[in-house]
Amino acid sequence: MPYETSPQHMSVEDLAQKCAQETQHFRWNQASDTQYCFELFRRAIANHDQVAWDKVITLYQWQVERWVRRYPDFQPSRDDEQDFVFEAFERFWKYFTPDKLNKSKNLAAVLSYLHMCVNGSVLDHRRKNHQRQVDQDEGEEERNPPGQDQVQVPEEFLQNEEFWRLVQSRLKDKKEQTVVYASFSLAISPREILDEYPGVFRDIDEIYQCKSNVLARLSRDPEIKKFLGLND
Amino acid sequence: MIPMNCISPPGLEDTKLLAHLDGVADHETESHLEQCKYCNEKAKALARQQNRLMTRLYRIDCPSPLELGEYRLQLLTESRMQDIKQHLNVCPHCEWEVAELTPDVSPNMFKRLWILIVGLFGRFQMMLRQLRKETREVWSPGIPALSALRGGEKGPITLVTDGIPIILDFQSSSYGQLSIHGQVAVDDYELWNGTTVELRQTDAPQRKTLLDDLGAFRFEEARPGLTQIKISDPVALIHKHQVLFWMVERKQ
Repeated sequence: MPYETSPQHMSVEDLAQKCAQETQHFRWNQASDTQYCFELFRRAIANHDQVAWDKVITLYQWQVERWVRRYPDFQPSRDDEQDFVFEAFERFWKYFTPDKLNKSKNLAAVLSYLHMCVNGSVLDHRRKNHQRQVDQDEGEEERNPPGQDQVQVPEEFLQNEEFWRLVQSRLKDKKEQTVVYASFSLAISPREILDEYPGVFRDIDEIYQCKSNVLARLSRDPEIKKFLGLND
Repeated sequence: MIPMNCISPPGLEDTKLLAHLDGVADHETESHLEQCKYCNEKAKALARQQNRLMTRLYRIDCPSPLELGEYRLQLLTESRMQDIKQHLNVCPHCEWEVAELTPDVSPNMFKRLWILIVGLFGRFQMMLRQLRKETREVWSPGIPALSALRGGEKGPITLVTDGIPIILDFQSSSYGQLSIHGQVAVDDYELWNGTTVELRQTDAPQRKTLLDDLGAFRFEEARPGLTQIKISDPVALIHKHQVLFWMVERKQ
């Protein structure tokens, strides 16, 4: 390939133009050359080239919007859709490191990661909604009113981690650890626990007995009660 | 007032109450709970305790969606891949999410047909262009024309969203930051006066300002990087016009 048309020696502007043309070819199901777009991503990620980043956003914003809109069972408003687009690019910028780029080798792999950032952004939103639902079921809506940002702040996350270590220190054996983890972290029923952990428990009655013993012990523990606000 | 004792002491065992809370109690337990306020209150106390445990512990050690995605793309270390693989054996939530994170790479029949139709139409367009000897610049809905540098050495730029032009200019300020001067290019400025403008950037608190009587706004000390500007519509108040770009560091 002549020096002038080698992607590595082209200006960012020319790269972006070629990338746009080749993307067009791809969309029209024609033969396309991915090296220009890949080189644009490479400069943005490996060289921290801000102009290249700007071109990446310009060229792929439509694709990211499309992925957001086509996520199954998910219909955000137009405004929320743009927030997910922002978050997807933000994740991609933060977490698609030069090391991951080296592992990727081609444009398809890079775009797979960008697509994964879209899906991850939507899933995070769903997890937060689900956590909000769990909190509301408990009456935690007084502490976290609906409409406010429900993002778990780092302090809360650390407190929960600390609480989990405290609870684990109060459990006697592997069976109790399994029942507590499966019941409250995985939120699965005793019937499902019996299926997911074959050979650990005799039957469902044993699971209920184990759970009952743990709850009684935890309800008498002053530190646990303090964490759970069950002092009254 | 809560009774001090069960109607038929010593009362239901906690195992029975837990089964009742899970909706799998036997008939005898359900009948008793219909009549005994004491055991009912015990059941409610158990429910409260369980709910508070779940609030604290729900998915406490589930990997983030980002990490699950990297697991799916095999970008994690070997040991972390093994950890997550073991977790997926027991966690139905993460198992489902990993399936959701996998892009659809196998088009179905209708999608293939659509791609074929689009491809044929594209070839027809190419033939027309060759006949008319058009210039090399290719432009189609969905692939925007490449615009000027955002914040680079060139002057103001114009971005269009929902048919509304937004003119943006960037100036260097202290410590490598930029100030953003913007204006909405509309005819009826009175309508837009006082409309909220939001600025969102990575790792920075969201900021707001208002359009003035000439449709202009300003944000000081913005940082180069991924930038989103949202302007509320003065008529459809729940709708926002948005632009997304990478703000390039401007040389002094």
